[in-house]
Amino acid sequence: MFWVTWADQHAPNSSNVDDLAETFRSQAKDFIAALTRAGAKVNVTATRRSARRAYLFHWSWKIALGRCKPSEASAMPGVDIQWDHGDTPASKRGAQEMVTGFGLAVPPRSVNPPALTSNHIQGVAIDMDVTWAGALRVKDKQGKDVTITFMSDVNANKPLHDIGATYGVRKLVTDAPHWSHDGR
Amino acid sequence: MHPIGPMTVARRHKPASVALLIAFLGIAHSVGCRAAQESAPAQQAPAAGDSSLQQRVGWVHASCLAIADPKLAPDSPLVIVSLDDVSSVINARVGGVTTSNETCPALLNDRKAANAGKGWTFYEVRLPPATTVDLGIGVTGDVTRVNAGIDVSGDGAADTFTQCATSEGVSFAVWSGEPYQGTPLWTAYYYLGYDTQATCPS
Repeated sequence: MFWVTWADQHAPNSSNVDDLAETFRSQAKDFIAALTRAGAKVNVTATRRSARRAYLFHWSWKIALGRCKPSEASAMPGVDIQWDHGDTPASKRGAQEMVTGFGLAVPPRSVNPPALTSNHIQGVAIDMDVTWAGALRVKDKQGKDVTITFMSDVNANKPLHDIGATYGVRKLVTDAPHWSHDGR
Repeated sequence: MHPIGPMTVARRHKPASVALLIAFLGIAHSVGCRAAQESAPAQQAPAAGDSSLQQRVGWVHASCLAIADPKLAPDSPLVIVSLDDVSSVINARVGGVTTSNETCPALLNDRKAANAGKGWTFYEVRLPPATTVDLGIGVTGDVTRVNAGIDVSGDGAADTFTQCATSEGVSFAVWSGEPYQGTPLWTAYYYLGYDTQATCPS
């Protein structure tokens, strides 16, 4: 599938902390440094997401599911895609190929397509796994030592969330790996 | 300008033209996600609870099962509660363990790091001919059918299967009673690696 390959080559997402926007980049780096200094293992899986990739996800999903006419898709600089083939069934088939190729989940009766913008796209969110064994003594932003105990459900580990918040890195408790500047 | 075709990639989803072994259950579709009193916990790893249940229940995306049982024998029976537009119970079979992102969307580059290594083993699913599943929950072992539903808790009543969208994933759950009330029998989180609007009750 051309556009799946194209997106992987020209619109990849990043897992590099350096790709985050300032000041969140520095805040995330400080938080990660505090955790690793204390002995935690931090595995960053996503930082800044590509707006062009999100654009392809969004419109392919909407067209494939019949949520809009192919002619209604907006244009995006740098993405020279022809959504409207002048034949709606053909346009929908092509869009469905993209949905499948991108592995987009299609929740039943969903009206919510992949988002065109987000904290990740703006560079103010990070997905990461933080693991350690037993208890960990971590310094918060003010330099105060805080002891936190590992929980397999990171969403429930409020003491960890509280330390992150002192650095300006806030947990979203519905998505295990997700932290951002505003907790969304 | 490049068109959105051509159709050169083998599609994971065949046309759903045949109604299968479909039983219309008390399967609660999560979307829109019903009026609910409590939020569903969305966890990164197989959730705590009945340990045998944790190993018997897993989530399905397309032809891929993620389950916390690394020792499922090939060709084992698998009952899938499809959470697609038409709710259905599908008799399928477990294929082999796979690490292929062609088979498992959960292992695509954008999401592999967040889904692999979380206690899940990924298996190819063998669906009946002309059957497709987008999102579903799979149950292995002896499955008790109650009327048109499935009882995984062993209390004699059909349980409720749900999925809802989080900000960048899917929260799956099985409930003994009303969905999104109390603690689910089983819950799991599937990281999608892209942003969407959450539909889970909050």
